Amino acid sequence: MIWRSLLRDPARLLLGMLTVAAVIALILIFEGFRIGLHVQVSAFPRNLPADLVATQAGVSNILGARSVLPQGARADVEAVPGVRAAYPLAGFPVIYSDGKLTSPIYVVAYDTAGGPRHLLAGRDIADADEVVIDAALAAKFHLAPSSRVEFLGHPFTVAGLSADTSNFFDPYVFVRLVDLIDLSLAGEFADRPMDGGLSFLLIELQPGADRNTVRAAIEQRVSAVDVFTPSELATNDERRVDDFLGPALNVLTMVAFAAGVLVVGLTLYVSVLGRVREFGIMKAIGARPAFLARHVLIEAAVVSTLALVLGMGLAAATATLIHATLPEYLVVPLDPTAVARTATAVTAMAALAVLIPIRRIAVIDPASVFSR
Amino acid sequence: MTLRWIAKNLLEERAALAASIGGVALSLVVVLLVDGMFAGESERIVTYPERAGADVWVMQSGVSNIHMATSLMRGEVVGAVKAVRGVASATPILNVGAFLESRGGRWYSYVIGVHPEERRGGPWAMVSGRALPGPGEAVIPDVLAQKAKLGIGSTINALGRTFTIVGISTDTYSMANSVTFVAYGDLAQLLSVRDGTASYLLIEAAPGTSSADLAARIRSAVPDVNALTREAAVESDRRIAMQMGIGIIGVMTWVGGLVAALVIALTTYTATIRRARELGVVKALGFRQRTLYLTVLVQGGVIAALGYGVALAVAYAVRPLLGVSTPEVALVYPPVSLLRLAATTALIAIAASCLSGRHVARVDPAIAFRE
Amino acid sequence: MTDARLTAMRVTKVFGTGHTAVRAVHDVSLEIAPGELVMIMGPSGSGKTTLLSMLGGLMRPSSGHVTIDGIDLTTLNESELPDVRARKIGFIFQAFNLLSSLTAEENVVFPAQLVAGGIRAARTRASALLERLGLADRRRALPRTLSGGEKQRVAIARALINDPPVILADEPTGNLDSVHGQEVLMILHEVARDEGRAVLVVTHDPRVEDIADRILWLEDGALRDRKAEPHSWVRDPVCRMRVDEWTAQVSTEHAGRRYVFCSPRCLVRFEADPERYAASSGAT
Repeated sequence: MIWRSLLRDPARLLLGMLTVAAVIALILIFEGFRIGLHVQVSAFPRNLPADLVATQAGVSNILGARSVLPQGARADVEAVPGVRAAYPLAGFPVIYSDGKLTSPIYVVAYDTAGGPRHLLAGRDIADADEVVIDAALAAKFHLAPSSRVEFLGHPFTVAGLSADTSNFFDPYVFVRLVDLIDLSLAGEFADRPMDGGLSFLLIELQPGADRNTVRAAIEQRVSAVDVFTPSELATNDERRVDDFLGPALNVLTMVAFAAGVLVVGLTLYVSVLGRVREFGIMKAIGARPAFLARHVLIEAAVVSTLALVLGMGLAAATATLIHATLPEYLVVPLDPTAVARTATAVTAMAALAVLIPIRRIAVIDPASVFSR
Repeated sequence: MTLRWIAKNLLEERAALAASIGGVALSLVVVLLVDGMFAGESERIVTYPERAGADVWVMQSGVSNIHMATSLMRGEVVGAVKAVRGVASATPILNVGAFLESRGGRWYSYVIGVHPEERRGGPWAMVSGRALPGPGEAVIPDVLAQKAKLGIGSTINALGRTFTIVGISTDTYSMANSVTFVAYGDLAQLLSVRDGTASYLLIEAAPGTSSADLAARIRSAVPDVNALTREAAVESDRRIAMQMGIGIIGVMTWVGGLVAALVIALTTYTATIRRARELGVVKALGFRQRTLYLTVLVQGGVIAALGYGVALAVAYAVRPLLGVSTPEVALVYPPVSLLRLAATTALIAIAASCLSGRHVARVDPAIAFRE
Repeated sequence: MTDARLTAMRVTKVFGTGHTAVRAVHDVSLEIAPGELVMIMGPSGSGKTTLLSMLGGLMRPSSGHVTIDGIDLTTLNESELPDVRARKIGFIFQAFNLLSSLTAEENVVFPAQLVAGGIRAARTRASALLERLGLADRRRALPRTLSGGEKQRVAIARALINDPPVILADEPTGNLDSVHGQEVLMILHEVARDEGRAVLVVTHDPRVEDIADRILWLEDGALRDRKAEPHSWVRDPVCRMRVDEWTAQVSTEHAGRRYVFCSPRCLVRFEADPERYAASSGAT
């Protein structure tokens, strides 16, 4: 009976569900934006080809961190028992502008390890004066393999476009460390961007060496460094994102939730309004308030569930659209935890929202069935 | 009278009206907040270059920002800048992004090394304590102090060293880059740079010298540097901040706007259906189609307008509340954003009402004769 | 009559085409003069509502002409008809059709926006109408607080506010008890006789016959004139309900005499034991 009731005005049902679905999609997009950022910022550190990574003492991130290691640090670390090799990596933020658009970027100067892992177009760096840039950054600035770009006042050629190296405030650009040092020594840069040019050491352990033991040994012997696993750095970078955007996203999600309560309430309310006579008749023939309330609750559950499914579809479509038009943003709309959290929120929304139509039903006068 | 009829119709089901207005309002609030957060954050981001006391900002050649940039100038370069005619004083600062740690918590901040005897480059407004830190000392932003529950005398760790907090500044916090001050010497040591090196030079123009002229003169006299007037530096940083956010603001505006549109469409559509008979009667009495379109449009317009009004009220009311509960978030509502949203809301109302307009056109006046 | 306010000339309405075509109204012609109250009766589905819709300019005839106060509605386009309805016709509906959110007074003046003078000028007229119809102290009441009779009187006042020459009433007493129904019929009678309007009432209510100048019978879409004769009331021999011998749908012959019934059920029971019921029947 509830189904027939709902389907009597399919346009209203659809419109109502779409409205609720849009709010759900909004919440999923906020969540998806946070998760997407986690995915983006953790990709580079998590996938570093190293057993351990050494940073400047006191530095525990790659994202947004400025890490400067003394020149002798490499030799010191390689001298620690259990360490097979330590590959240098330089990383520093720079602002890139093509005259029209501006974007902060993170330049990674790598030796043999730490370069771009996954290329979407072009090839790896083969010559001096070549760079590999993040694909989303390339899309934003309309660059492609063989495009000419200028960083730090020096012209480079784009050799390839990389994936998993993006986020909206710090996309990566890769250059060979040896090229950077050569250019710097040749006075090609107005000044060396990083004094020393050494930010991190990618540490490869001897086969069979125990990671924790070697780690402790390095930290004890080389006071200038702290040592982390790649996944610890990734986690720290994710936490940095949460610190940065967490409060703002929480506020937005709360507002969206409140909007959801009202929207679900409105949808149920107008549905009841369209059936005032029906409810009046049910009351007249003896239906108790609890029975009618149950009717509304079931309807709320049906509408919310369908709207959740619709909202998930809408969120997925929007996320795809966002990524297609704004490639520097990654929205992960259907992360299972986020969906579960949103489903809980939707249930809470519906539970609060039903109060609105239930109140309306309570004031329907059963004697109204006799009037015209 | 027709307007009175429309108004009374709207008021007949007050709960539905309230829920509609509320739904529209809150979806617009989402848009306002996203916009406001970015505008607020952008304002905060540019506060340092705006208030630090420089007429001209000098930085490494190829760099034209303070926010999110790396700049380093050797002592000789600094000396060359100081010698340019029109430079009354040149205050060097060092600048690095780092994590501050205390009691297990970590917070990102720009750490700025300032000379205690210099007037420029340090905090311009204090909540408590001393403005300029000496060796082993730090001045942190008030919001950070609140979040981390730190006060004068507390210690924080940065870049591997422990600092004692001697001052709490205000107007120096943003989500992306709060500003913490330490002694120049401490930071030089931590960054392993020689004394005399500067990330940025804060230039005071000599009396009678325009900032723009001075900046141009410095640029031509010292090719290793870039020089920007304070306004240009602020604008450059603001542009970066806004450009980073513009995409996501656009997305949120679309989705928030879609929710508002659907709420209006749902409300006007159901009102039209519920009142189909009355609309038929009104047609039978001799009212034209356009009058009926008008009822739908006015209904949608009223809900949209009231929704917008409530959204503004909520957005402004939320500001001081957020200031207390979530001080990391700054909300600024530039008039142009408010106007833009008003225009968007109006368009939404018209579009959403059109959906019901079609329905209205199809109402048969002969419905009045039916039971 | 050349001074007829409402004229229908060979009006026909066909719905659908080909072999699914339904002729709801067939070749109806009538004239109603100022001051005349004409009643149209007929069984359900006879086309009364369709005819009324066409006479009121709410539906276009498939053929024929409808003229109101000299204006041929069939020559007007859709955008011109509302104006005629507003100025020339007053509608009274079975379901009252008051605007639920407006007070009685506001309902009455509502159509006045459509004519010269507007609401302001209409307020005085509205007051007078409500006073005359005994609703002066209910002018600020909302429809949901009015009784059926009060609602219909408000509807009548609304129908009269723009001083139309023609009144079309569809079952005006259909939802009223006998006292209020009586009241409404007397008002309609006055409206026709004393104000010189052409009033057309479509109804099943037999009391209208007592006040109608002419009674027309619509059956299967066609109109027949029916002189104002007294009803031939007889009693259903089974349930004893009063039935109009002339209009009864169910009847049978038994022992040379015609019996009419209120429904087929009573006919079935009669035929099961005709002697029993024939003995107890008789004319009213």
